[in-house]
Amino acid sequence: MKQKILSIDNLSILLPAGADRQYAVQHVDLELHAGETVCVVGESGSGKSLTARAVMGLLPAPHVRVAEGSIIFGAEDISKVDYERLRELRGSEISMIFQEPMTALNPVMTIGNQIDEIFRYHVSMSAKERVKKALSLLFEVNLPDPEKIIDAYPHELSGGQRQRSMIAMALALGPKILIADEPTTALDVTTQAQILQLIRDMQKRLDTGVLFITHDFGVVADIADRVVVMQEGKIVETGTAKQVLTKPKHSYTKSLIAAIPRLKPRKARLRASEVVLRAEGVYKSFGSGGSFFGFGKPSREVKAVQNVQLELRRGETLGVVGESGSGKSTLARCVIRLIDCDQGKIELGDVDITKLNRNELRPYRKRIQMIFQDPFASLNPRIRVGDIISQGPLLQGVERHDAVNRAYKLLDTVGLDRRSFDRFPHEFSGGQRQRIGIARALSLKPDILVADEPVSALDVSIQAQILQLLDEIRTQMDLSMLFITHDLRVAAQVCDYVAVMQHGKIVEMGPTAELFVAPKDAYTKSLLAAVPGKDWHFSEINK
Amino acid sequence: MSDFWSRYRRNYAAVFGLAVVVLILIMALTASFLYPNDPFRLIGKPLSEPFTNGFLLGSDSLGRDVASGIVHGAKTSLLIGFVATIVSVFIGIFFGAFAGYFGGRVDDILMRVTEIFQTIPSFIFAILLVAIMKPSIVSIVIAIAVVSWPGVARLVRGEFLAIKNREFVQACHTLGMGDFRIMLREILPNCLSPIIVVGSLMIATAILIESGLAFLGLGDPNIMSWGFLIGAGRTMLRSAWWVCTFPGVAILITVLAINLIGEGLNDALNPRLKERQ
Amino acid sequence: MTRSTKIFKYVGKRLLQGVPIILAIVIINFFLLNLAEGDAVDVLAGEAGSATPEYMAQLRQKFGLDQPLPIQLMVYLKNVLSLDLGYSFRHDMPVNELIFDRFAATGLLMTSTIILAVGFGVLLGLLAAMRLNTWKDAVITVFALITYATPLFWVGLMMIVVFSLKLGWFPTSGMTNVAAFYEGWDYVKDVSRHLVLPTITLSLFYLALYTRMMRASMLEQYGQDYVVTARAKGLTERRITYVHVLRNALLPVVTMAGVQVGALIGGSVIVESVFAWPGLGMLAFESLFARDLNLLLGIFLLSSMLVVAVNLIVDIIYCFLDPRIEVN
Repeated sequence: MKQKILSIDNLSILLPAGADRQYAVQHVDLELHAGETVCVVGESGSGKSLTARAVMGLLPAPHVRVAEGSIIFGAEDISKVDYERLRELRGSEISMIFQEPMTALNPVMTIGNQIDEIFRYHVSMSAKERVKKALSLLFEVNLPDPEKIIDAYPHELSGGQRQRSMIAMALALGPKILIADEPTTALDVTTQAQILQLIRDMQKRLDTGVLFITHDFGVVADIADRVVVMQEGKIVETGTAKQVLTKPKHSYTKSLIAAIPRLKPRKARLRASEVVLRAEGVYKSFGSGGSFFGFGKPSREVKAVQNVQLELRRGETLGVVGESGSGKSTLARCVIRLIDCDQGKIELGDVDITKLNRNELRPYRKRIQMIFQDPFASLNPRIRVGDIISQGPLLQGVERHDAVNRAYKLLDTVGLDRRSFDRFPHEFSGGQRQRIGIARALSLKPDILVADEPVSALDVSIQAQILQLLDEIRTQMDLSMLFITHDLRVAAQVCDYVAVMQHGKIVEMGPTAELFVAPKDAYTKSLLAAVPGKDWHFSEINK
Repeated sequence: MSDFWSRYRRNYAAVFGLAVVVLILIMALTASFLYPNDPFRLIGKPLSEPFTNGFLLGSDSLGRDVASGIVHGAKTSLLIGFVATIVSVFIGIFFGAFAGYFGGRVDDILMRVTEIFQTIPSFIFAILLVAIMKPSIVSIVIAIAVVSWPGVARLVRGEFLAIKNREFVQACHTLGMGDFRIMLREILPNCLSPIIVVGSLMIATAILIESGLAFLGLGDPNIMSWGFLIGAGRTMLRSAWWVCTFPGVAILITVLAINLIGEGLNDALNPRLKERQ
Repeated sequence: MTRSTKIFKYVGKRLLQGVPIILAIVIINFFLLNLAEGDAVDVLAGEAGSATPEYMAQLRQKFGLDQPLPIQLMVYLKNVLSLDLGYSFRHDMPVNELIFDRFAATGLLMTSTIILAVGFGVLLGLLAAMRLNTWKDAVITVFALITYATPLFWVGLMMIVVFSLKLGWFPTSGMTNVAAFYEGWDYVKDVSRHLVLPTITLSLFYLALYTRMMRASMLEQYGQDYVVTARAKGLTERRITYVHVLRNALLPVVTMAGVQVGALIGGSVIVESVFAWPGLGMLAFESLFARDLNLLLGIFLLSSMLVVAVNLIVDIIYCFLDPRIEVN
């Protein structure tokens, strides 16, 4: 084994009084060697990010501080060195990249200047040399046209380019340690795969030790040498990646791994002949800017959905997968007529709902309902749960007494206590809120559910529960579902059929089992290839 | 509600502000009891210094009691501040809600109008309006309301714009809820906190505008107000400093107290904002 | 498209957007004129009674008051666009000449006020934010709270009482010492001495405003992710504050400075009338007393245009400070 470069011993981090627990992190031991990648895995609130920040001396002072333990780097204890020494270490010996490169970069400073600062504050180099070095760094992280990017502002770059710039900055002085705090969570899967590859390449070249914080076991499978699993501030399991992924010992690790949706496609059920929803030649574009007083043509046009055909049959789940900007959410909103499409037909049974006005549409509304992504935005914080669930039936003319009864029954169905009826949404956790959202969607007894990324805001264990609930409900009520997701693993688990979208078009469609095993379109192939932990998934499938 | 009060109570300055405003309110309501005489009546020796000739805060050039004027003027200032704010908040909500909710051309037109009213130097506009309508309580309230609403409109529009795209509003659409019900029942209650905060601060501003107008001679000539006292006293600044000073202090204290309440409301109604700091 | 052409296009667009606003203000002016008692000519001639009946008739014809309202509006628009704002009988001068005469004094007062208020506001806000929760922060915050609540005219009067009447440091009123006939450098010094109290008075409220904004803005920016990145890069706190945070924190303050210009002009009416500063505000006060409504309307129109112009300048400055501004 290579040289040990970082050793965290018995680290505890104290939270301010009044927090939900006393210690954010308790008795944590962790080691990192040169050229090694250690993944710290855990769900939100596990203390993984604060552990990483403590290594940089970046805990949000003065409220959160190291209470005991040591963080030994070289011969020093980082948790005790003075500020000036800490500053010297940061950026040169230990550096960090973050989850959201858009907010992590200063919006009013060029990328070049933001790289330049690192040299200016750590080494003495002439201005000319610094520019040269910055350009070569941008080149090394595979950014196209470094001369242009050096003068660009963060908002002028794509998410992937921004993260590459961050990596260039972090590796500018060849640090011994790179701390990566969920660096790919905000990125699309294909970009994520590229960034992971880049980190691996740079690591090899510089022999950097990487401390990688993530919630995603797929990512762990792809890059980790060793794994540390955290739960509520404590380490519950450590081991080599192989050990932890294939033979987890601790029950929490087991449950986490069990909850991960596998890329193993489900078998399509027998297809019913009845078509409940058909979309034909749907187009939608958005204009932006340029109009003066609302008159005249917009200067830019984004073709969000182009010539989409879909068919959803009774009882089946049709997945629409794609990366951000592929038009999948726009399509879902067209289907449910939250927005009007520019062209095309959307038929519920045999009625084209695109032609109906608001009043004519109302009776059809109840046949198609939606489940939303963000459990915190999808419930009105000022309205009681019972009213949220019963207002739909009331609007559709159901008697109050019946609507209330229906709401109580739905609370049972989605696994919530009946006492939830009189509570406000903020009293519930994310997963419970998502259950309330599902109850609301079911309140009108729809035939079709449109689910727009219903689990992507949830922790993986909660994710599994919600997916299971959706599956049960679908069987119980003979629902058909249009399931929008960016996560191919989720799609594999719940969808009978899958449509892959790119740039507003459906590039490939077919039964999940066939499409995932033998994709025909190049884009589908690249999407599948980019799924984190793919090899691990398939090794499990073949088992 | 008790939750709200416990958060508000944590801001001592705000509690102090509330106490001061309550005191001033009591003073205003008991004015005719404290000083039964008409504040315009000449009741003693002109230009008496404070604490002389039976005048607590002195008298002006015509022998009117400054203290009586302040107590009676409190009613005017608070009333005008409150009513003008209510009116402009309603106008602002109306413009902002429609612009934000419907967007597109409705938004364009309403916001251009708002922009125009925001561009116009508001105090000069208020002077003009009062001058044209002739000074009276009603014209002053109208003038202040007309120049104060654009801020509310922008705020409400921003809130509506943000909230109308929230998923719970989209859920209401899918349930078949109508636009007006969505605006009134779903969106508006969610933007009341910032409106209340801004509204409370607007009362302070309205009191300042009213005193400024009165100072320029545009107060209601039949009603005692703080600005009127200052305007009447400024010519005798050399000989009788107290005529201007005490009403000014009254305005200062009132406005300060209301601002403190506004900040307290802000902390109590938007707890998340406070935590971030 | 390069950035400079982008900015160029943006400025052009903003200029164009100013046109309907000015047009709308002219129309509002016209309706205010009509709202006043009597017909427009009564207002135009003032209540001075010094206008002859012949002149009134001539005016009526000129303004086409026998014509329907839309045509009257067109005539009014034409007059305004050719800078004909009518005649002030009180001052025996055309309104536009009168306004341009007084413009310099107001311009001087406004410029010095903006420099003082924005400059010190930014400085104090910065100081308060950097020394958060220390006595310096407390003093600055309380100072800002109190000045924010003080009526302008009262500050002015108290300034006169303290600094002119009691201490005799500064003159009580006017822009120059009328008796002295200074020239050259002495003149500049004389005007400066007269300028001090009005500037401080007018600045105080805005100083408080910018101080509060700057403090809040700095604190908000300190909480942003890029500050953590900057620390992680090993930059000094100095660099983080003065280069990273300051520039981002200034953006909303700059915007606010533009928005407040209109209010500043309103404030100048009060301050100028307190200190008898011979600018537009003073003129407005005089016209109010003389019931010279047309003059008042002229001042209103011009100051509105001034606000449009200043807002444009502020927008252009903002453009250079914030690279995210897009042409659309």
